[in-house]
Amino acid sequence: MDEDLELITRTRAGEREAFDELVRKYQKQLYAMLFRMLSNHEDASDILQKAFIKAFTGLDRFEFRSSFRTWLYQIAINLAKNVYRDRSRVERVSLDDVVLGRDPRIVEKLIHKENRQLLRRALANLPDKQRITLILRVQEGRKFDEIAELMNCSTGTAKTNYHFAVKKMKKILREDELPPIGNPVPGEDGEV
Amino acid sequence: MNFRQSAIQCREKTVKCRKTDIKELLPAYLEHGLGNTSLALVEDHLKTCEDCRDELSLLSMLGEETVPDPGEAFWDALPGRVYREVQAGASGKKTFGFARLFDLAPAPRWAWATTALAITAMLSFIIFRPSHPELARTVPPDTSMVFDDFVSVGPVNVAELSSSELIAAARWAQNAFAPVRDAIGEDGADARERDLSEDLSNLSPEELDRLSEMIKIKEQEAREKLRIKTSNEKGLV
Repeated sequence: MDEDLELITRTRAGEREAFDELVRKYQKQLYAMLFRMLSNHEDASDILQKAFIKAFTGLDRFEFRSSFRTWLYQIAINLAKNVYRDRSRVERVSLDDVVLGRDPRIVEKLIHKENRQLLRRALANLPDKQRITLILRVQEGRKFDEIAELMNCSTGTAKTNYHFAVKKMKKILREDELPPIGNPVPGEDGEV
Repeated sequence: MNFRQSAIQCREKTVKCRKTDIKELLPAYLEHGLGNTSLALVEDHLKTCEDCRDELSLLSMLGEETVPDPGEAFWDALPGRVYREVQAGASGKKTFGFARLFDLAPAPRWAWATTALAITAMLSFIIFRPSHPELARTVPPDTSMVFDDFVSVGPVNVAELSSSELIAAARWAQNAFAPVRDAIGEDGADARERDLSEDLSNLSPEELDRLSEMIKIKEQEAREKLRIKTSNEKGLV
């Protein structure tokens, strides 16, 4: 990350161009991860901005122990966790959302949309670490050692969280009624 | 197989696969990121393991989740927003000075600078504007007595002026109104002295006939208007 090192040095020296370049470099990928974690633009864009502000405000304290990217992601993940804990909104699929007709494709769309919603709700009901690990591995395509660095844990722990997340997802989706978001499934938690 | 079918099958299933090494490879399998050895291992296992096929279906659904693009305007504005917030945080408090106003305003700085310059120039003109250009150009008469000296004091009674003062005033007026006289020119002087019969004599017989007809029409219209006016006044009485 020599390029980041140079940009950070120039940013610390007060060069506005370098500052903008650092934001532009990471804004899209960070937003994608936050949107997957938070499921809406308002929260994702809000946390995205806060993460950048926090990172740049503390840039003088950044010691290059990890990459700037990892540091930025860690900040964003921690901020997103706080939002998730406070959240109580539940998105539900309504028949009113879809115009019903005789076209079988519309029914397919409804099932598809319902599946998506079920999946999101199941994901939302996972404990934080498991949910974030699953998102990072499956949706963001991060390797387990990267996830371990981002989550500040060992690679073994990251793998364990991943396995428990998948197992719990299956369990939640087997249930007839999903619990409301924010109430993790009772019983074995498995979060490490 | 869609996710609903997969979930129903999961519900009915009793056999759970415990091959965690294979399961850990499933996301990479979906991303086509496995080497030949690992790929063969996973594909062989999937042929016989329904639990892992279901898990693959679940992971596939999760991986297909798309992220909407908020648009270029959002991306373009973000660095500036972050920069302002960081600057405000660095100063310890959110000040509201002119510099911050410039930052918040949607117009670029050069537009604000141009506007400020225009306002300054306008105010300067209003405050320090010169006297009327015609007066500024007027050359005082070449005389020992300056007419402005006593005109500027207040109203002047012409009867009280001495002969030398009257001569000075006349000279001043001659100089002051010289441009006006020049502007009128010789055409104006000619017009006063020109005889109408000379102009009429230049007209052709047809033009004279048309002129005569027009005069008659105008005369009739004038008579008609006068008659209507008179009758209206009588009616009112």
